[in-house]
Amino acid sequence: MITAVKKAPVLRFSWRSPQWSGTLSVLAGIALWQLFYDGLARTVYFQAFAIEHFFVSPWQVAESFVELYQSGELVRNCYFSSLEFFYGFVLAVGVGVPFGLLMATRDKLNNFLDPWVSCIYATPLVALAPIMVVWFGLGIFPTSVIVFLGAVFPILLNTYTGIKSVRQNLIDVVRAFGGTRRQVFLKVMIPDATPAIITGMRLAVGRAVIGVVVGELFGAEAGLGSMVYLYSERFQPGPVFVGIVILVGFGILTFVALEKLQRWLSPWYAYQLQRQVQGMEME
Amino acid sequence: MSTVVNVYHAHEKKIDAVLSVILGLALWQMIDALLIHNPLVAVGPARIADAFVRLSARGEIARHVYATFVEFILGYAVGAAVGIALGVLMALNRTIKNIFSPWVTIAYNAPVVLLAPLFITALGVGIASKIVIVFISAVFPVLFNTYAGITTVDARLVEAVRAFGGTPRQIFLKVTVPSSIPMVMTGLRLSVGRAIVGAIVSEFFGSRAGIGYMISAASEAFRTAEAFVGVALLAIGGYVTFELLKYAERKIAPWYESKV
Repeated sequence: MITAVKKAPVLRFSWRSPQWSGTLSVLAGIALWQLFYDGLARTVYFQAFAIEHFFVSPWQVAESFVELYQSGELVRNCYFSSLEFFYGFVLAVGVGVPFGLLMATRDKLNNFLDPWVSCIYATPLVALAPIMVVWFGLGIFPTSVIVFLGAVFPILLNTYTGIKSVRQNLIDVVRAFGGTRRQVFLKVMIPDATPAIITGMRLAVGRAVIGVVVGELFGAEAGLGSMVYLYSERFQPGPVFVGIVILVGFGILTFVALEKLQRWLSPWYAYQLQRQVQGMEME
Repeated sequence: MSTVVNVYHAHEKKIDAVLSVILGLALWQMIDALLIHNPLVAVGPARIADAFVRLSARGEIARHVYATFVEFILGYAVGAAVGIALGVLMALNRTIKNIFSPWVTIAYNAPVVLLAPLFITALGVGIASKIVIVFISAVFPVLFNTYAGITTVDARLVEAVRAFGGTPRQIFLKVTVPSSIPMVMTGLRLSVGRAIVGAIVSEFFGSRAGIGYMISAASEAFRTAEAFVGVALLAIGGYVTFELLKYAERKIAPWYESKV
């Protein structure tokens, strides 16, 4: 009889464990930052270079956060930015995945779309942000378009690569047992390409966040990007850093959430990666 | 007739690409000329080419391209050098890795262009603030990929050299460095895009010259065709740098098949 023996997770506090040293490093960094700022505030340079207009201490960032939260400004800006992100990103998934699938399975379409896709992908699309305002006016729509443009190509190209690199032996097996084209597509190609598609989405998150920020530079009524821009024009770096911290946190959280989704949808994938790294070692 | 068909089948992909570009440009031009008459909205290839000729005759294009190029090349060169150096340090020393890796992860995922207004406040609307933003945008992809390249060296190669009496120095120079070069080149290529975005966005925030300045000034004055000239210049610049690095990668590490 085979029994799976699972080791009980042992809680270890080791200086070497990555989580522990990571937390420590972040805390130490913040403390150093605070000390550096306090030290700097005592010197003559602080006045001479007007440092308070572009540099803050972590404590002041926390204070600005509370202020912005209490005035309701933060919630409103977050709401607008997340709407833009949501619309743009959902549209990018809705367009990128089907087009990637079509381009990977229809050679003719791929031949015709490929030059345009590679050309547009190589262009820094945030450069279109001012033009989007001319085209679509003010509000959240032009920014959503920029988010869409930034996010759609990584998703499309990764879907394409994912479908193109489906393992041929899996397709052969299903076909040998009488699988139809439809079954091959739904039962082999889609599941096997899922990890690549989600990797595309993870890449797209970063570009989408930059799209939100740059899109809001031009003609936005609210949003975290416009908040950052407004307060940097008023020489108040506190709220600027609040905006940056929220956007970075959002980017990292979405990244991690998509990684979890990847594990949940295709649990064999992590195992496969592990096998590739460790060779053919037995567990 | 059959020879035509044969030629077509032999070079199907290339002919399709050329056809697609011609058809696309024609369609774009037709939309501009026949459907939408508003020059604010529809700018066909003809109008963009026209604007390009007009601007380059005035010397505007050379001025803006030069400004952005200087920002890009200075920030990118320093970013690449620092990124490679820090990546090597992090890969070789465990303590340095433990201290810096959370910050590198944060900075790699952060939209660093958001710092542009602060740097412009600190360093002025001149070139210095843009160079810093380009530097910050470019450094982390290089750092990350250098680190990954060195830590994922094939252990069998290291063992083989060690088995034949190789010193740590020899292992580093003859195995680690050559086998991590492809990853380093990938990092260099990835950071080209980010560096260009950094330059353009910091020019949006405040500048007196550069392609980003040209795009935002033109669209604020509703000269959409001129803004598209800027976008087209960026596309060409990005493509050329990308291809140059691909070529360098093939020369330096010919054993490595480029994937991206």
